[in-house]
Amino acid sequence: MNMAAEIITINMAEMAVGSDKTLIRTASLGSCVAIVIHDHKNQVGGMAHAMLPSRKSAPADVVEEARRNIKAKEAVAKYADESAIRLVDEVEKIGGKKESMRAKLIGGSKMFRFLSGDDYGLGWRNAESARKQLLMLGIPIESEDVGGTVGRSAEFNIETGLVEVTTVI
Amino acid sequence: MTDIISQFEKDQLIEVINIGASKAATALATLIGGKKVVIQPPEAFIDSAEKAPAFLDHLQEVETVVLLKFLGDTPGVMLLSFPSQSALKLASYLTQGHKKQLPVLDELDRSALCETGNVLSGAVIASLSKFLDLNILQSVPDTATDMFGSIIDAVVVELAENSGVILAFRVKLAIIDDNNETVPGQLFFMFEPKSTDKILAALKNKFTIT
Repeated sequence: MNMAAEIITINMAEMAVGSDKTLIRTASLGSCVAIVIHDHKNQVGGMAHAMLPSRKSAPADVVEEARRNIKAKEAVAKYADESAIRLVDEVEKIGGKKESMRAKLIGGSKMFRFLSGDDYGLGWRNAESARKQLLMLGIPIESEDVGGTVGRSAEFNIETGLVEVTTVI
Repeated sequence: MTDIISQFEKDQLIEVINIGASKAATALATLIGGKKVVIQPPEAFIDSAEKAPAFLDHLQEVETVVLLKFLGDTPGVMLLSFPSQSALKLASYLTQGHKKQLPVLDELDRSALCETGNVLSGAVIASLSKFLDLNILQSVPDTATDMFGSIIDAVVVELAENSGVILAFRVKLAIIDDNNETVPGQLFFMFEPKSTDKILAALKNKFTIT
């Protein structure tokens, strides 16, 4: 039963982790991609709402750049690749084990035909960046609901490991 | 993040948007046969891109959005957004006599709404490029009907790819038809700081007496 379920709502470029009895929600996924990590053995998991595929260019001075980002209070889950790493880290911190983690991807759609110019668009690149990073981390992707031209909302139930995706049209 | 531009500069930009939006409202009123169109003063949002959705409301509701890109000196986007019922109403004004089986937007309605976007942005661009002496172009329009939040998400992310900070301006408008029925809608303009810098420089150029 989800009687005492804690509901966490995350916005763009945010992430949240929790144990069972936690529901993590995110609304209005357009070309953003939501990365869901679930550890079914240890009943922990998390979700990140990433905006962009990756940092545009590697900064010349990594340390300086990082310091600046912290100072500027940069959002934690802005880039799909970085947020995948961070999310796995955070889930490990609350008791998750990499071996039993499974990932799900939601979002990455193309709302307007001409926005990005090319055939794939930003949504596709977001999903691809997350996929690549998860592959490198060795976390299998269980299921995906990405692409198309629809906006989505997602609700992740950590107890069951199920993600409920809602579309309005 | 108030250090991006000063209050004075913000006011200047709001005034420029106000000129554009007024022209757009006039064009809309003419287009739909002399119905009354009222607009509210523009509201500005200036912050990092990921906070932009928080500035807006009704993110969960279904809206029909017409999107146009501004190209040239001041790249940005213009969005014309209507709740789904409003969009149907507006489409029925535009396609008088067009009989439909279902109360949903069909191809003709979408085309009519795109054209509205074209006409409105044409009015905006004509007035701004004349006023500011800038070369602004517009892309072809496109429509989408979906969760408003998702649409905003896609647009904001597109801008955020080039710049962490965005400047968004919202103008609420309403069409009041002959039966005194109100059809609400919103007009958005979103720019990167690079574009607004150009607008501010153009203003300075125009109003500095040497």
